[in-house]
Amino acid sequence: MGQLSRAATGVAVVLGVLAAWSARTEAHGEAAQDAFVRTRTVAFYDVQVAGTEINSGETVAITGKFFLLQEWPSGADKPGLMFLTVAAPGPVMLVQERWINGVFTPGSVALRQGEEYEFMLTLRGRRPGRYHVHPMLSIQGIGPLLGPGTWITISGGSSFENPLTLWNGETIDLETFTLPRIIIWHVSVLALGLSWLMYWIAQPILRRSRWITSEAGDRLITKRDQMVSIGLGLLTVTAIIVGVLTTRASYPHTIPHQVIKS
Amino acid sequence: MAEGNGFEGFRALDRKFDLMFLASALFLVIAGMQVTLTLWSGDWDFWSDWKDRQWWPPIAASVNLVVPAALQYIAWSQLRLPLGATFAAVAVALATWLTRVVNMWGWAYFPIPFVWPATFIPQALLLDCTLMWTRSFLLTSILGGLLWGALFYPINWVLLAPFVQPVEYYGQVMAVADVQGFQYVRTQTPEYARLIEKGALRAFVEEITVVVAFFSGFVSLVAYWFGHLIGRYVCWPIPVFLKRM
Repeated sequence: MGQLSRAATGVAVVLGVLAAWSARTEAHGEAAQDAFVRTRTVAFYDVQVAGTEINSGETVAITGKFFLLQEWPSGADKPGLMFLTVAAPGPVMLVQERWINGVFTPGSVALRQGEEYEFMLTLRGRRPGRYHVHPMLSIQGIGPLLGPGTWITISGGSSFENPLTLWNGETIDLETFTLPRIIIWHVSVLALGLSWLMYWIAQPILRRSRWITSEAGDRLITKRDQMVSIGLGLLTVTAIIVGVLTTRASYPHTIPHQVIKS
Repeated sequence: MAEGNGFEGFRALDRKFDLMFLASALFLVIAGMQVTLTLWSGDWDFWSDWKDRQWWPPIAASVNLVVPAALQYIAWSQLRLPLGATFAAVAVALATWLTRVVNMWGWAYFPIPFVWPATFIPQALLLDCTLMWTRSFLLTSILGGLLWGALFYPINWVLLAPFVQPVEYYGQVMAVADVQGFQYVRTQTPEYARLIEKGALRAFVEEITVVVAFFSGFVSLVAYWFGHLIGRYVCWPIPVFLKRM
């Protein structure tokens, strides 16, 4: 016990020293990108952030311009589709709007080299904290290219709602949308699966291998087993049919996912 | 079956070995299923805006049948237990929910309605029942394999349907899932990397789901035999060991 506590103390001391000594990582490694990619592909300029301290739920706009250089590095693929977004530590902020040259741009776009583009990103604070945020242009074949970063502080409580109005007029909260439905369906099918497993696991398992090798394996499945399998199979099919029919009735108007690449 | 077989005195020990075997198998199966799912159908399973009807059903259904088919062969041929596929589906369901809640919601801050996983449990139950009723791997691959793939989309439609309701977002027609993908920042997943059905007039034809269901079933049939052969390869030493004992 004494040895154990000494070892635990040693580990705690080492971890404590490392934690105190290590520098905090507080950026996205933009300087670590290859210089030829960073300096010879996209130039961001006139980037402005309208407010760096917001409350959760409030918006902040990042505006600016970027220029796709004509002299593209020979070691990199020619630019294909592009996608403007932000580099942030996860969805701590939501992208509410994305505009390029005054056009709302929900998806990927094909832009031309040698041209300047104006952009605006409207972000909404979601999770309280202080975050380093960059405008970022991902280019197919190249990867993400970062604009200048800014620290944005989000204040407020942890509760956050993200309302969205559907075409049928109903307003939903994307943070919790159909969460009970997701849980109920998964728990229902999990209960079916566990019932089947428990039925078999309640019986001897490894011992059955003896009968397999002694050529008596066919007698291991009894009539009761057959009845249970028929019952559970019918229950499963019923659950699928009921699930699909009620879903069809609850959500009569659906569309395929929309891929917008222009 | 237990009476008069000479093993009565070892019943308690039997159960301990059974539980140890199941616990070990659980972790192995979780590892196998999670690796398969993440490597081969990861993004389709991670994000609601990747769960389309053209790519998601054939890919997710077929690649995630490999481990259940292997396990089904091992459990049936060595123990005459029709639970291999269900065991794999339940194991991956538990592990996937753990990673979604701890990793994707707890650490990466994505809301669960954006990262809910698909389920394979009903298809797995039917696959195991098919093997038990037919006692034939060939018939199971044809009936069960086809059912596995064909039923994947209807079963998960229960979860997906609310997310493909239409929305008008800044003048654009989008599905709810598209808005989720637009708003929740994924720095390393640019939109052009999203491999899903492209919107066109054809995309509004409902019968496509039926065609995809059949195609998904056929691909799953092939995947079943791939998993089955892996099962055969993995467990060939077991009967040799038992005979020596």
